[in-house]
Amino acid sequence: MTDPVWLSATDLGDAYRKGALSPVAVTQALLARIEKHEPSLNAFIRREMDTALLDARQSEVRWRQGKPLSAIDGVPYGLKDVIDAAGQPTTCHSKLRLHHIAVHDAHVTALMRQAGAVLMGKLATHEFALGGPSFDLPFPPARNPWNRDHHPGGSSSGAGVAVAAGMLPFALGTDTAGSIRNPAGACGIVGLKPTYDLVPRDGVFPLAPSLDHVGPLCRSVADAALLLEMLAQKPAAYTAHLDKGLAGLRIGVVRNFLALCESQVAAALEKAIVALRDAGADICDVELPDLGFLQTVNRVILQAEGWSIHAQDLRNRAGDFAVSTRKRLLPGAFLAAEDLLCAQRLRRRVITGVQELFAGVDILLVPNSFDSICRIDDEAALQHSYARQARAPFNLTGHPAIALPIGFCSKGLPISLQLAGRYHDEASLLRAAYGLERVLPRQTKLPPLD
Amino acid sequence: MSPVAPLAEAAGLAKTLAEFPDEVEAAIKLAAQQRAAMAKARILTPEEEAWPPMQVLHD
Repeated sequence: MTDPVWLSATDLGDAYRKGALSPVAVTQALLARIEKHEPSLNAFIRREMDTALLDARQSEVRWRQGKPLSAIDGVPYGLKDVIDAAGQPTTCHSKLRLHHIAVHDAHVTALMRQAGAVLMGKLATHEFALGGPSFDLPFPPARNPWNRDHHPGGSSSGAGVAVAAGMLPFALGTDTAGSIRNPAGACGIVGLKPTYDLVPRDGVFPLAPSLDHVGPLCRSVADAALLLEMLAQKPAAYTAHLDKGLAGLRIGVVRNFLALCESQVAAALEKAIVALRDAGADICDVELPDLGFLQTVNRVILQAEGWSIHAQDLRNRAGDFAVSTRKRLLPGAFLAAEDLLCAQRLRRRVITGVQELFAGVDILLVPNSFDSICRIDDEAALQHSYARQARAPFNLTGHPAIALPIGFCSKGLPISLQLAGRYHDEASLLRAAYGLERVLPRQTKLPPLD
Repeated sequence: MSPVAPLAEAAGLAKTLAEFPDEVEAAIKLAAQQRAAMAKARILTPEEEAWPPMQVLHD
């Protein structure tokens, strides 16, 4: 049997049901792996070893009695440290929040608790889910398990790293301009940003509330579907639609974005497009507005909303922020009401344009990152790649989007693709992603950690 | 006189300006660049689009 540390949440639930594995044994195996690799990966802000084992023991009793709380009862997971868990610190990876203790669970944490999932700890982020990767914070930045000198993506960095490194089967992250899909792509796992507000945000520290989303980072599309069923505010059977195949799905390839990709990323995307076509999907080319324009509109809204949250601290204790966070938040102080209104008007126009595209296609296919992953200390390359990504447009519009791995670059680092779907049509989105996952060569490579 | 100080003071950032003058100046420039970039898109008149457009609907 596969080492349990590499099993998906779906597989772990199945193994518990069959009695092939126990929540305690799996939790202990993961804790041992975390103990071994955490010093070189920095995925965790805080580990909850004692309570995790206690929760796992209770879950084991429920499985033995044939009364599990859900299909993921006893499955370990982690929370990006902007998401509250009652009684634990929510630091947002910031000096400004070192002493904050959450009084209540975030809504999503409560949902996971009700499902019996085992919370293993709080995970590294970029400060306040922005900035980063930063070396001037109380906690070090997470490292990419495929190559520790390279960026793991952000801002849900610890979530991406922990899942990719076999420390956790899944984690919950947040995404305001791509922060679930970026680390999912850089770490070679699946990351889902659902439709805006489909997953509740209360108890999650905001970055820019009209752009913020909560979602899972996990090992497979099936896990993303299963977890969304537990997290969504509208009940739906996403897993039931996964195996319907690709035939008949109309997929629009956003050609003007593919044209921006580095050659090996573009080549991997083209292979995936051929695989989709061969499997029966109806492929056509479409265009989205100029990427720079979309990024600007997203950034103005993010900065204005972010400034409104952090203004007092930026006025009184600016030196307590990381340099990169401060640089990204300060422009919000100099935006006028007219600027925000202008951005919202343009946002509305972008939404209308994307809605019109979805009249002709079911799914949009977009690169995740245009470039292969850069070194974590290469500030110029980081700036370049952050300005060139196709994730933020779907924060602007609120459409659901999923990132999934499609191969590796010449440096052995993951390459990822992004699919976007209609509002609240996660069923079709997950079906397309699942179909693609099935037709691509099976991924067996593991990060070179052991 | 540079417009940086009055703008920073108006935003309540006098202390921050004293500590991080380059960053505050860069923030003012970036905000202006973004304003200029958005101005390149043709802004519709109230007759051409529903008003107010602030509400962003996702379904």
